[in-house]
Amino acid sequence: MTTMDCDEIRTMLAGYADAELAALEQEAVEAHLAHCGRCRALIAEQKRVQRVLESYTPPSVPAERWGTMSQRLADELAGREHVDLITQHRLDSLDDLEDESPAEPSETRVPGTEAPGQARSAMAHALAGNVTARSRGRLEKLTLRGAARRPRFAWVAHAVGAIAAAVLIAVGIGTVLRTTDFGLAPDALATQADVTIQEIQMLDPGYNLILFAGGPEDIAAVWVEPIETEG
Amino acid sequence: MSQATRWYLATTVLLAGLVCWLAANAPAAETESETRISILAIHATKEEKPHIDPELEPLKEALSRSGYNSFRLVAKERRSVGIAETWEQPMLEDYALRVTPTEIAEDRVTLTYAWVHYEKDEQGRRIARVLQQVPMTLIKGKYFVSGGWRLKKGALVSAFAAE
Repeated sequence: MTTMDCDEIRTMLAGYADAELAALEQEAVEAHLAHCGRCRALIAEQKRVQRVLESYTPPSVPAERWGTMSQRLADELAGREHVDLITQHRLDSLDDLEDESPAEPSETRVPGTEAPGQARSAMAHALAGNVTARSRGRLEKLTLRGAARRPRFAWVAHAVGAIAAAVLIAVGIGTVLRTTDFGLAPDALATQADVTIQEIQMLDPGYNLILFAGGPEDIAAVWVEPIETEG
Repeated sequence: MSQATRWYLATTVLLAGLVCWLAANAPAAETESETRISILAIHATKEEKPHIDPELEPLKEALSRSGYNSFRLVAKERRSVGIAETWEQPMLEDYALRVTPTEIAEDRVTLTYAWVHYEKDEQGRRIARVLQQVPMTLIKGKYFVSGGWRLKKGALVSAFAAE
């Protein structure tokens, strides 16, 4: 048999305390404990904690008190429109419990003598027995309605946001189009056929008037030319 | 693409389409009593290397008769003007062009245009001196060219059209 050090032994102490080790492992641990005071102290502490846990007895709750609590819980759940996630989790726990334990739930199954883990199961059993099928059905409907309402609200919010954004964009484009005056592109020049000049009044004697008379297809323009003064 | 994103896109496209439809089918802003007039202010100069702004290329034939070889667009304005209403568009160096529609038909506009120059009188007050006044009828959509007024460098030309 090989000699193990403390680190190797400590990985097996829990199994040793629960008597779950193989014979050879148990002998190795015992051989180590015979000459290692620190590991002996560790195994003694572990066994002490184990004894405390085994000797624990949960406090007992009277049957009528337990029934009242579960009934109040059921009433509260049935009266609320919004069923939160904790409530949903509780209902799911009840469903799981029913699936796993086909035995009929009993209001008289009172926790008190069970181990701590069993007390929780007993409470779920009691709830399952007190929440009637009718109230549970209502709760499920409320739960579904609450769950469905959140996405629907988000959908409406998205729709309103989209419409508002689109309206803003449309108003912006409209404003730009209304205020921007692109003007008529100068791609068409008036010919003399397009223009009828009634009269030209030259009121500044410093200019000469120049007119073109090239025919109807010739361009129409009225020019002036400064009169150059000598000196 | 999420459902919300599709909804955003669909709504935006629908509203954009609605806006375009409204814009296309909206009644014209002008009525029989007013017309929309565009005025271009052009600075003509003589330079060693001729130049003409690309936007003025369609007017090149008319502008070239001025004796200048370079033309730059310095202002471009457009406005709705009613009958007997005068629009005065400032130009360069205290010049201005006044346009007054007097009759508006389906395809033509009768108007009077006048070149004015702002000067100061003996009291230092700013007064407008009319240089030239021309009553005329112009086919809609065609630019009419007028100008040659002396500037410190070059000359002032204008082209205007009615829609």
